Amino acid sequence: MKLVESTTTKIEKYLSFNVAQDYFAIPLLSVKEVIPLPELTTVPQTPSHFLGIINLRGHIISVLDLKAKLNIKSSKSEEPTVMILNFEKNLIGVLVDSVNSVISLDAEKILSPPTTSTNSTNEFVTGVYQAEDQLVLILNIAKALSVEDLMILQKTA
Amino acid sequence: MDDFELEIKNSFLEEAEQSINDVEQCFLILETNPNDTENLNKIFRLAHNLKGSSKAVGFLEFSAFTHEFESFILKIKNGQLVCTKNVVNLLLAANDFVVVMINGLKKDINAQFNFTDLLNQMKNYSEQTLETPAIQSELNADPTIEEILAAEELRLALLANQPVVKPIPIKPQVTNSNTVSAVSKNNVEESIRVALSKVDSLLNAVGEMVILQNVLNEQVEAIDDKNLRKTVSQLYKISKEIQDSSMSLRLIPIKPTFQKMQRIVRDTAGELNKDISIILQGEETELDKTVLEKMNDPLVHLIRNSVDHGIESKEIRLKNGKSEKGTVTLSAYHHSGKLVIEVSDDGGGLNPEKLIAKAIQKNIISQNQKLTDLEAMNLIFAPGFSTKEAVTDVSGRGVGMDVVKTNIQELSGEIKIFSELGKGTTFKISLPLTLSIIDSLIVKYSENKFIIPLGHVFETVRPTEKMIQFSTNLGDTLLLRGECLPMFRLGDFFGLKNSNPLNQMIALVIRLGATPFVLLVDDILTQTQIVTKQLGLELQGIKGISGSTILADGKPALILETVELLQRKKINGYVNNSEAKNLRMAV
Repeated sequence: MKLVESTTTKIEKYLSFNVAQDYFAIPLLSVKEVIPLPELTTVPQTPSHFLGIINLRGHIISVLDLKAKLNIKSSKSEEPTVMILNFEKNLIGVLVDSVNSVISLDAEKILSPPTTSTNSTNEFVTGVYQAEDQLVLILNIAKALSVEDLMILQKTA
Repeated sequence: MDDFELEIKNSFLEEAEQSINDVEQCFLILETNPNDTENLNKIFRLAHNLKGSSKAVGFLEFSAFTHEFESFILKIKNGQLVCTKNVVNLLLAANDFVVVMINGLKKDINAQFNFTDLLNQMKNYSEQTLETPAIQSELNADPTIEEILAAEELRLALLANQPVVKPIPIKPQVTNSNTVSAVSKNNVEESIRVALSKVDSLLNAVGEMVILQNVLNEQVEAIDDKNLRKTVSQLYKISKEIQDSSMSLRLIPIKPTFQKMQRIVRDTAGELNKDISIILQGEETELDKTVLEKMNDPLVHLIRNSVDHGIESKEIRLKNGKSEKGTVTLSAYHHSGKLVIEVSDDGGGLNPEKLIAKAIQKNIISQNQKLTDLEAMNLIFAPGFSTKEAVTDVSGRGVGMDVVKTNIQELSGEIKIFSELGKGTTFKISLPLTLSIIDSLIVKYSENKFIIPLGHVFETVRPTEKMIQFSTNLGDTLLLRGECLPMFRLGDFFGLKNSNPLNQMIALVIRLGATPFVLLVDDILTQTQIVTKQLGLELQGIKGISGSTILADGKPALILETVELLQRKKINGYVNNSEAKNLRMAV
């Protein structure tokens, strides 16, 4: 399960978003749409970062909490936003604190993440980018959410 | 292989499958009426088309086989071969093999097949018969081939009720092209092929529309505007109509399935040396594609049972003053919003006494249990029950009827038996027309709403204190009219806490699986029709949850699979000790 890989063009478009104080970006092509957090229906006995299911114009979509998954602690978000992502043909919603903007990044200017860090988020960060006044972490979100694990788990359960 | 090639190959396979389905029953007609030229032409055209188009898209093996198939049929057409039972068998085998090849190629586009045996059989068969005088003499004393042909042509023409112009000796191509044009004037309703995914996405949108329509209906109640109300009520009628006609898009006629059954009756009767004819009624009846697919195996089983267990052997039939030939009738019709399929035979019928004796012997019921005739008949659905002494190839492995019943219940359908000793047995299956809309109960547990399909719930009871019993070994049990049923709070399966007193909850009695049990919920909010929605991959396969729906307030809710809940509890071990014991007893 991979998000859309970078192609031959050097300039790639990313969607940047916030979780607590951290800035992240994911390839824009993997994002289907962004919606304000609708009312959720909880699904019993799912992992704690599994928030529940929502109704997106007649489709039932599961929503995962990125903050809980990455163990980031912060106060409640003012405008909780759900990014609807396309994992192969499966749609999954991801709750983040806010979505900022679409940014175009030059592939050459994306640096590999520092290797000394022991932070667990490091596994999912595929690169870093120095924006004007902010460090943007390029995220492999499928890995960050262990989407693959989640699906395998449920199938064998 | 490039995309284009792959695409044309796939579309060929799809077409081939379709056309082979259309022709299946022609082979069977061939047997009862070997001289039906029209019928033979249909088969010939099939082989011919398959040969041509398979070659065109590059399935060379396929085309080589169908070429030989075609030549074989041509020989029958030309009268070089008499259409005996053996010939029909060989034709059917070839037909089967074509199906095998189509399925094989569908799975693996480069699949290879070994058909030399069948090919040689067809080749040699033709040569043999040409030379064996035995078969020729069947026709006439000592004729030349031309004479045989002429005689055959004449006979064919007579049978086909066509004016006899003149027997044409050796130019089969000419006669054949004439008949082809005469046949192809079939009057069929025009149709187009649409991808199932497109239909499903339309149905999805329609489902959403129906929900919004319901919301709108509610909202308009609060507004005092006659015009607005009128418009909304008109809109309601139209959306209802759109709903009905879009639901019908998924419906397909039962005909191909019935025709398969025809084949099964023929083959099974042959194996058992019985003479059985099958009558098909209501082949045009339509039902949901998914329902139809899931009904295939149960129908095969019922049909085989009727042929094997239902219809008596020729000797017994004659002794009982019946005709030697048995009849199996397969019919389908709509009845009050349900689809009904009946499988009936004119065989010996079910003998309640024998069934009871058998059930006692198999430890399914106890010695002194009193059963009505109907209850006795329903014993055949008990797991591990098989009435026939000898285990045959055809049926009687002791699995089956219980699986048939479970399959039908999974589709929210039911099966009933009507049987009269000496006269025959009828199985009546009623099924919902579609799986995407189901009658359900919306229940409340703590703050959660869950959907339980109405078909799962046998009855609902508000338990009185007397009915609720607790013992450390068995956990909570419900005493219902002398029956002792294990009882669980719905939330126990999901780790949802709820301390409402048991006698203020509502008990849903579930009798779907092998063990009846009781689910306790806080309240039943309403009974309504819901549109089922698939869950994402990450939630599929969770035991106890079959899907979801969107309620009138726009929020999603989970649809429960009650029987699976019990398994979920067992596997995941969310139970305390006393409950675990209870389960071991119950399951």
